[in-house]
Amino acid sequence: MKCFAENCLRERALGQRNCSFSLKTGLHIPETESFTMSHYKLTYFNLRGRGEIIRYLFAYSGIKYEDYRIEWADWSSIKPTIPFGKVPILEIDGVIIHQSLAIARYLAKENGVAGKTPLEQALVDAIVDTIDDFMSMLPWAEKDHDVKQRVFDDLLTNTAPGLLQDLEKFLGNKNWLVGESVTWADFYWDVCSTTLLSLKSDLEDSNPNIWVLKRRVQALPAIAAWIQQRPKTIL
Amino acid sequence: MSGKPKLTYFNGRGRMESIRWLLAAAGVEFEEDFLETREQYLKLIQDGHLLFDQVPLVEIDGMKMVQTKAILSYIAGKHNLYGKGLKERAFIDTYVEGTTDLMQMILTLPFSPPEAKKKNLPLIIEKAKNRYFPAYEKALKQHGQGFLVGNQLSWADVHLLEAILMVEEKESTVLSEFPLLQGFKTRISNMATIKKFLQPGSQRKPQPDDKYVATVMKILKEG
Repeated sequence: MKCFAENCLRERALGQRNCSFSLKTGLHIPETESFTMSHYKLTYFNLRGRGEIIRYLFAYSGIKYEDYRIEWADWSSIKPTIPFGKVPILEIDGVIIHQSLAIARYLAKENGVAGKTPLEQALVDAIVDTIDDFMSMLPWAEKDHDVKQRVFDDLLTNTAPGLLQDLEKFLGNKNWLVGESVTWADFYWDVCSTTLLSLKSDLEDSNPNIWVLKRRVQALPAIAAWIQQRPKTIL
Repeated sequence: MSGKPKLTYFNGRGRMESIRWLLAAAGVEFEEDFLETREQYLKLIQDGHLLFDQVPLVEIDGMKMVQTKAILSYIAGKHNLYGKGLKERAFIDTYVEGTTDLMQMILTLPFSPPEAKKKNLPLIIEKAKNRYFPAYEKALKQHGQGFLVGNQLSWADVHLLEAILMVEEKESTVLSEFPLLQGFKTRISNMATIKKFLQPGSQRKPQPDDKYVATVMKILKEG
């Protein structure tokens, strides 16, 4: 996005009217009347689910967005109108982006929490995908209750511990999963572990450092405020 | 001024417990001032803090709120626990009245004479099993979602969980005929803020004992 001042071709950060050069030096006219902020609309269900990482990024960045939550009754009429028929989607000034992790990665990059170098960004992506691999194994849409329960129990009892041990080892004594500051990998860990704990609370009994990290994420003021404010849903 | 709501009440459940539950469910930290002597209570009245000379008193957002239901209503509305729109609110109010009626019976039990206590407890359990729990089991069945109203946690769900646990303390098998309520109890108990409140060390209060009853009577000089 271009700086709004006359003759200035520098990039401006999302949420800023002017490039940081002009903000620092005061060499440009700061505002024009035709200025408008980008309009963001998130469409998802009234769940944390795959939308929550996006909501975390908006909360952390302070960017205002429309948090549109579809009612179940309306889904069948909305679904055909969405390019790939799946939510979450994020509309930015009318452009639709789908795929929760792609959306999250975009917002993370725009707001400096994607990883500070290409290498760190790769590590962040790897961690996110690792966590996401496990979350995707759970049969959320299984209609047979007994099968669903059995598979959930099996994965949470037999597979989850291995993932958590690996995360614990990867985190070690660091404050954040990747690099010296928080990234969206840490956010994704908090988002997913909230759901994991609600399904199997004793997962918290081992691998202490990853749970300390979870509390650390939840203590970030913007995240704490969002957690308190958000609709309370099971998933 | 910490900005946290401040609760003034006896050091026990009573009428304040539902308020503690709701604040906890909303993830709101709160402070507590316990009434231990009659002098404290009289001073509160003298200083004009108690509109009807009664507790619970909750100081919140610059207001000195009294009347349990009003306080709960305010917290629910403020923290997105009162449904969406007037009709969902109406359902929540209905359900909360039911659980209030049920919990009220248990609340007053310790303050009744021993013979009355012995007679009333089985009647309360019977009402729970024949009137209230069937009603909530039906409500869950008809609504067909994880919550009593809408598709997110509301005051009605928190209040129902509190009521279930309270009755179970008196008779542990009370939910045996109500599978949906059993599932409801597990699901809601596992939600992060509720789970935290259910863990030891939280501000949840234990069942009233003789000492609590004596303290309340002394402070209010009743009987």
